[in-house]
Amino acid sequence: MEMANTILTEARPVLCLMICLAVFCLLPEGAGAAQVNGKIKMSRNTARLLIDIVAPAPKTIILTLHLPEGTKVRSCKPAFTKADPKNNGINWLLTDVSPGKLKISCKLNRRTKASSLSATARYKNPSNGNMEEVYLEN
Amino acid sequence: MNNGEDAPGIDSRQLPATVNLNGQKVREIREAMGLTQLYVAVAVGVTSDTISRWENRRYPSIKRENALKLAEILGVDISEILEQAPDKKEGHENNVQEEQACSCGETGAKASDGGSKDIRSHRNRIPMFFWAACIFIVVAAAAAAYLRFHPVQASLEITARRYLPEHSAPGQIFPVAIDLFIRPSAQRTVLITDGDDMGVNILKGMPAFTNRDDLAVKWIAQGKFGYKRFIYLAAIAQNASMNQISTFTGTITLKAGKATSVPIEGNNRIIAMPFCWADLNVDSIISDEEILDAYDLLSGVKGAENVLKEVEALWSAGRYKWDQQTHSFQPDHPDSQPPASK
Repeated sequence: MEMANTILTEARPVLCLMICLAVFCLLPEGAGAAQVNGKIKMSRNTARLLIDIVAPAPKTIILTLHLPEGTKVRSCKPAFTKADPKNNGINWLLTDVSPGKLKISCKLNRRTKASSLSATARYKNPSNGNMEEVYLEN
Repeated sequence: MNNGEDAPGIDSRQLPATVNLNGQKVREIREAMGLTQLYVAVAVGVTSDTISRWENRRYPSIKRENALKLAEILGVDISEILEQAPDKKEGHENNVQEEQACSCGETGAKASDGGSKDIRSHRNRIPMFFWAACIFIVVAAAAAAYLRFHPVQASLEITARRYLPEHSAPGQIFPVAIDLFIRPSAQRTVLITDGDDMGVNILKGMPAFTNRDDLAVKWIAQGKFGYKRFIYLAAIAQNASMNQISTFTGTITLKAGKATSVPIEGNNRIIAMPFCWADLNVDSIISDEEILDAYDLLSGVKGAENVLKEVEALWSAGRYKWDQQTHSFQPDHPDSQPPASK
């Protein structure tokens, strides 16, 4: 018993290190924060999509903004790439993406609450090639 | 307690800084007085492990002050607990240093009279470590000597995989990618040859081809690389009939001692069909995942921008169809309007 206690006492740092290593190795691949995060902000009739991209950044991101019924887009900066009239949405194909911040603004035909908008970012996870979808906060 | 300065029967100033203890005698006196090692340890100001080692002559040389305190606690003259031979033995200084380290770093609360087990474990531990270290050194030296005279030839691993779309429309440009993996990574010259049996026009290589003829393209790549991607653009002949199959073959050749040649693996056939090469599930829609796959393959490749733009146009259109007259893809819903009031 005393011997066991001695071993436990003396080997405690090694045991801690081994447990940490085991936990690290058992974490699922790709666990952790998403590479893409973002927020929707509304000021007057302009919707702003603020995107945060962290390394390793995906090469390409598809950003989708869904508008409430009856809301139209007057102009966007940068211009949207694709319209989805069936879902009253617009898409941006963001290519050659690098880590950092991205701002997209969209002037709408009327004032709208940020909570009535929804936006998603879809991309291929560079670490495993899986398709990821992230909802932007509003 | 008087710090041992006035111990009876001997002038403490005549003692050297360290003295040789008669551990057996200390044990006898302590046991006769019915004192525990812990009690003595607390009184002297060392750990009970230290007292145990002293009594077993593990560390026969101890500091003069400790010896005087010990004599005082045991109620005997200092001379009674010292060894007879006053001359110092080999390793004396080291023993004192070890004693000091042990005295400072331990709490001294765990051992008791049964401390002989600890002593045995301490006695055994050092030789065990010593022998383990010796064995490790011998094994490491033997391994180093073996590797010195029999260097390990790391086996050469060459893998080449072709990305070729399953289908493409006649006359439409599609990409072919060859991913080359070589291990171990080293300075090499590699010859990559790829081509089809018939019916496909090879247009442009990224990097540029070193050589090409009607049937095959060739790159000669030099450098230290473990992975490299070679891409070329091709198109099924415009007059090819639908469902015509073209088969590709290719090899990687490099010289590592002797020339080694391996075939390029992966998809090796493409069928002429009225669908875009990026439309993997042939549903006449370039989905989000399919456009991302196309960009993953060709993004940043100089010379492939137009191919990507064409796929992007089909993705934007939503649905497309093959126009046999113009030999091109057309949006299937040209009237679709975005939610824009332009």
